[in-house]
Amino acid sequence: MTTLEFPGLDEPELDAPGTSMEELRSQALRLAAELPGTLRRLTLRSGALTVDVEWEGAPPPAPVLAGPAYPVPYPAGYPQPGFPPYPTDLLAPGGAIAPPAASNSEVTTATANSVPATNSVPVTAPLVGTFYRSASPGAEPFVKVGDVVEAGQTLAIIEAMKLLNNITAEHTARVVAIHAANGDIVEFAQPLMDLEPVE
Amino acid sequence: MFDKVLIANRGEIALRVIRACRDLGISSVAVYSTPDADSEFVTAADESVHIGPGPAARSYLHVPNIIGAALKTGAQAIHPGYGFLSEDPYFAEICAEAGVTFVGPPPDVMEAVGDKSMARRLMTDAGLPLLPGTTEAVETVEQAAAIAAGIGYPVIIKAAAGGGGRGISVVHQPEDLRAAYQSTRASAQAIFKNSAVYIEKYLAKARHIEVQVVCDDFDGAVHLGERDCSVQRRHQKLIEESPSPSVTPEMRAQVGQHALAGARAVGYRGAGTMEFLLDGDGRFWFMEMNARIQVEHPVTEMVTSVDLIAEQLRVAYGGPLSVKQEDVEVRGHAIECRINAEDPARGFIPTPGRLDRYRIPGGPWVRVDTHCVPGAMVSPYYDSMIGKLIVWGPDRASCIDRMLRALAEFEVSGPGMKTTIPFHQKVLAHPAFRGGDVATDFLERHQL
Repeated sequence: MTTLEFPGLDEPELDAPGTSMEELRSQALRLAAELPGTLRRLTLRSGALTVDVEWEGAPPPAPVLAGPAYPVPYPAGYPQPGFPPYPTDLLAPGGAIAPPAASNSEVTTATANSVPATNSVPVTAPLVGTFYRSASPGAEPFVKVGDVVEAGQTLAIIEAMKLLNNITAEHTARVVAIHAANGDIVEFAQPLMDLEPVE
Repeated sequence: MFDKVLIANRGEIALRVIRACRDLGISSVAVYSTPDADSEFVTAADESVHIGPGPAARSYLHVPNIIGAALKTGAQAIHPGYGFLSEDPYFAEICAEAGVTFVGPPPDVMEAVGDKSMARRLMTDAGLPLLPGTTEAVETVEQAAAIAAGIGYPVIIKAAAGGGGRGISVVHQPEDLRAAYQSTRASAQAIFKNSAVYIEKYLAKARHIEVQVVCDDFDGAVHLGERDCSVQRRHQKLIEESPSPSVTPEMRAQVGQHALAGARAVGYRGAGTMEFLLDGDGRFWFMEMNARIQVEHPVTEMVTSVDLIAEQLRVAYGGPLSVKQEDVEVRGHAIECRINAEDPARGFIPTPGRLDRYRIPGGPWVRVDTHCVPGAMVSPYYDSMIGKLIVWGPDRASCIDRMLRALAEFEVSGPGMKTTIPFHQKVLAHPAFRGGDVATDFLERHQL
């Protein structure tokens, strides 16, 4: 994915009233058709007359590989969520979260697994909650250090007030470090993992 | 007593609660948004948890993140301060479900007094004097016109879920009613997500008198005298004092009994404020109840020596109040000036920015509740308060003199920064204020 600007479109004659937007649109469509990959995003600005185009298949320029921008805003009126509690045996009676089992508390880092962390981008927690590396206790973790993940793939779950929030990869990347331990309650913006973009 | 309390707030009130916790041997947890990361209340707390970005909806109002922070730190209670989640009964219920004590009244009591028209009905039933008006939400403009004609103009239209001086319109003549009714409903919906409004008689020249109450679970209920908050602009308080220069000891006992009767009638627990209007004939009229600690609580603390935050924590823990009615003595006089980053010359518009110079006053009987330090940012995300200056004196005249001395010592400057300090100096030096002749129309009547 790449963002390009087309300075050629920023010429004064395109600024003529009545023609600029029409002209801009037709030029943008022509450019889009000539792109080497699938169109991902197209932005037209009539004021400054610029066109931003993103397409797939080009080398990634180190994008932000964070989780979802904000997965579950708290609903107005506070209805109780319909999701089943996760995972039930970690929840004490009354819904309080029991301390995580000691065996789940290992923190995996790049150094421990000797995967070099170059050009890596942190995945940070979008909310405060309990960090889980697998879908249920004892199940295989979603990812391990060294794994290559696809865009949209679940990296971990953060559970807050019985709502499960999937933390997903935005782009194809390799997991180079995992900073949070299973069962940790993480803060907003706390680094959870480092991902290295894969071309 | 609690071992650990989380403060779901920011700024000076977060610091105030942290200090009360420390005085009581309780460890404190601050929660903070990204722009508040370096703020004084974060460093003052024993622990802190980052709960979200600047916009309050994603941090100080984000319930799952606050509950998560309490569970992460093992806090047993959450003190909500004022504003934000302090009067949200749903938040109090969620705290209870998570096994965390909400420092405040029970959720059903909060809900009852939070609906201002329902509160009017409950207080009428409890025998309190109320201005003529409605105890139900007014549904149509025709109904509003009929009610207004019945009680006589001027009338005031208020949002049932309102507070902080917002969602209020004064109507002086029938031809203005339709527009005022519609705009109040619209702003009530926009601000409070509830378009219900009610109508009552408007007193143009009245004093705003509020009574501090604290109640426990053992039938303990104490009133701590009144605060006079008559100096307001657009229904927002700017200067508060205790005692009121126009309340005699007999009137104090009378309005105190009204306040306690009202608090008992709704099953109140914790610290709360009963707001009244005092008319020119010396009669009190119940206006509304605030189910939280208030910004201006320090003036009551200064004249009664009762730590209101400590009482809140004692009662929330399930203990009795440490004070009895017969022990309450109002001694001397206290005044609070709200020091806001606002420009009084331009309609009090906020002037957020960096405090390049910040020097707070000191000396005997001078208290400054502030979270600001030199170099701190007054964030555009939140309210414009820099701090509160509270002084005590043996009588009102010496208290005013001491406040003027302290205001002169207070230095605040920064790029584009204006404050309410010059405004306070003008009000306190005004002969009408010195003479105690202050009603809610003070700013309209006097050129400052």
